[in-house]
Amino acid sequence: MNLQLETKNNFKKNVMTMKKLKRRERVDGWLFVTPFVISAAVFFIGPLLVAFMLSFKEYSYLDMISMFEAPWVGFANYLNAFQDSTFLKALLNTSIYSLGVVPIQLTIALLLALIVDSNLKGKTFFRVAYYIPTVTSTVAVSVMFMFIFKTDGILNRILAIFNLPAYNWFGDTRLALPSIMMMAIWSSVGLYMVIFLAGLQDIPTSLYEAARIDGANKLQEVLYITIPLLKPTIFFNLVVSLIGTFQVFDQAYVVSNGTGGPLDSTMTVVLYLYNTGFRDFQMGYASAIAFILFAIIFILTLIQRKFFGEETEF
Amino acid sequence: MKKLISLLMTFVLVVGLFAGFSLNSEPANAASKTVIKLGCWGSSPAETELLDNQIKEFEKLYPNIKIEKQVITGDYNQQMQVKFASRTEPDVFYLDVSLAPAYMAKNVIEPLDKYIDKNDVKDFETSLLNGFTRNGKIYGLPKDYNTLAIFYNKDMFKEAGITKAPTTWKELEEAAKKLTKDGVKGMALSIDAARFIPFMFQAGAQINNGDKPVFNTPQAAKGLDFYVSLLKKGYAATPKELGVGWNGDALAQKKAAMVIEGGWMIPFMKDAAPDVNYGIAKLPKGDKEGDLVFTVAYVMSARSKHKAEAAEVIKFLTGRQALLMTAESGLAIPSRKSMGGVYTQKYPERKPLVDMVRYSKVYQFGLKGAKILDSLTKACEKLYYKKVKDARTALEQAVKEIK
Repeated sequence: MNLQLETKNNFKKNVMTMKKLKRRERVDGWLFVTPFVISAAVFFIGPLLVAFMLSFKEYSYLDMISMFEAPWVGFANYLNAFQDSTFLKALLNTSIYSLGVVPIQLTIALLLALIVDSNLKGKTFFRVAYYIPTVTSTVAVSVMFMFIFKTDGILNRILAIFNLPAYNWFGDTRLALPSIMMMAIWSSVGLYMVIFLAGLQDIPTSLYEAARIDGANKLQEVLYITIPLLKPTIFFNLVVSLIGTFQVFDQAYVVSNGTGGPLDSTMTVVLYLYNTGFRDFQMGYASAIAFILFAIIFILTLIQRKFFGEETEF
Repeated sequence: MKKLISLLMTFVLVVGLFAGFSLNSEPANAASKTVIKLGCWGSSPAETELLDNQIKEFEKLYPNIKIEKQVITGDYNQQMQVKFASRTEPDVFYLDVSLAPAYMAKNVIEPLDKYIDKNDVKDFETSLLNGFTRNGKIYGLPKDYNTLAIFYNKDMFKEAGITKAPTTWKELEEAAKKLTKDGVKGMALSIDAARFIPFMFQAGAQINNGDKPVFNTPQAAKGLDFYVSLLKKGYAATPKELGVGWNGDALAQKKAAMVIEGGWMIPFMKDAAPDVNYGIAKLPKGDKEGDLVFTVAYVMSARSKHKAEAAEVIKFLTGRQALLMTAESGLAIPSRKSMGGVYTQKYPERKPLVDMVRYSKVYQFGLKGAKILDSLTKACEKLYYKKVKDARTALEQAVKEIK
């Protein structure tokens, strides 16, 4: 009898502590994420909302009023952007850049990943070697490429060996953009290779073994097992690469000294945004450009999800 | 108990931290000294030393004012705007003349008329001072300046049998033609408005009228045409075509016999190419004389809490004593007429740089200056890459682009 009562009491006590624990857990959880929530609100969500507000205003940092007091201009900034020939040229350049860089970069990255994933001798060396450009600063890379692409630089000397004419790579309106595209492909291919590599290691070897028993060759293995099962990784890389290329800034800035020249051939959307905001003192207009860019990237990502986004099951 | 102790410890630590901060940030004699923050951009070690010495002299004379130098790294104009937006701008700062219209129009800098002696101001080179004047008010006092000149390789001149530097457009073209041989170009000319505008001035053109672009004239086209013709005829090449970063490199690496640059070439050549025997000559004369002058002034933030003291700083740093130091260092040309003589006496070979300031116009083109320069450069590119039929059309299109 006594014993029974004790058990019952104990049970009650346990329920109480469980409830308390649950509540405690919830509080603790929030406590743990507070630093992130606060920093996200202060450094990410807040500025985003302010920038959105600014895109409907006329404002410069040199105005002696706060941005909340700046005059509203409605959709004028957005409408202006679509009549601004330099902006449209920047958008075209950025699109060409993105369409050129993304597929080439990802194809090379996938090939490299496949090679590095096989039983190659010294594959660790290659993994490191391909990844090094990614951890090098873009400005340093740009300066290095300026040496390669100089009129008397390495590239032109190599061309000379094959009796090909020398080009003024960064000074020619047709070649400047392709030059920075090459630079971008070279410098970030390693990053995507590593992500592909992680994806490749997720594919169970049993599938390959089964395929081999069925008599599949290497190419068929890649086409019918690797690529379909790599879809989530491909999607991820596509999105990241697309966003990255649409935001290209540093290469264009360094190569053209911030002007986007020659003749706007390296003018990109973000470079133009930077110039309008800080050089022409039109922060509102610059914010509007930023949101147009955001909308474009967002729509493109949605489209990609439609094609590549479905879950893959092993 | 353990909890309590750890709580206590934390408390002590936190309090200690704050106490430490407040102790550090307030020196003992803070009450007696006014601190004036001075914003500037980073420059060569020699120039930094010059400014530091000027500051030291100032602090000797004004023991109650302390100058705190803030070196602004990165894009100066961008950093300055961010500082203004966050209300942390320095009391006194460098301002390039090309940015002055925006800063003056937005009223972020303080007119200095109250603080300065009207008679003393007359000593500054007039064109420089005009760059920092708006609606009759003076917003900044220029500290130094640089005009564009021809820097030429004396040995190459001798070899080509040219005895004196070209003084007219015709002579310039002939000299460039003669000097172009053995893989060396007569001139290095960059496709940059900041280098070809002097030729437009020499043809009698005007770039802007207030904030309005007015360079769609036959005179401006004539100037641009002449500049591009030197490139097209092969007597000159752009730095990019020569495989160098800028005009200076072209002269230093003996890839061109003449370049158009400013006084910043002097320390550069000393460092990069001490073996090149070069001379400095005035820009040639077209229909008239004309040149661009680059200058930087000290200005005061309109929100400064210590305006009287900030004004003293500006007056001293642009005063005779400080500028005498500038003149003697030879690092820049002092902005005062009375000091120009000191400079040319010590460095007679640099006299052309000083002589040209009389008819030079400051590198400033109104509120839309950045746009004007951009579209001018583009017009030159279009002409050079044969995207338009002539200079006039290129300039017409450029004016239209600036809305």
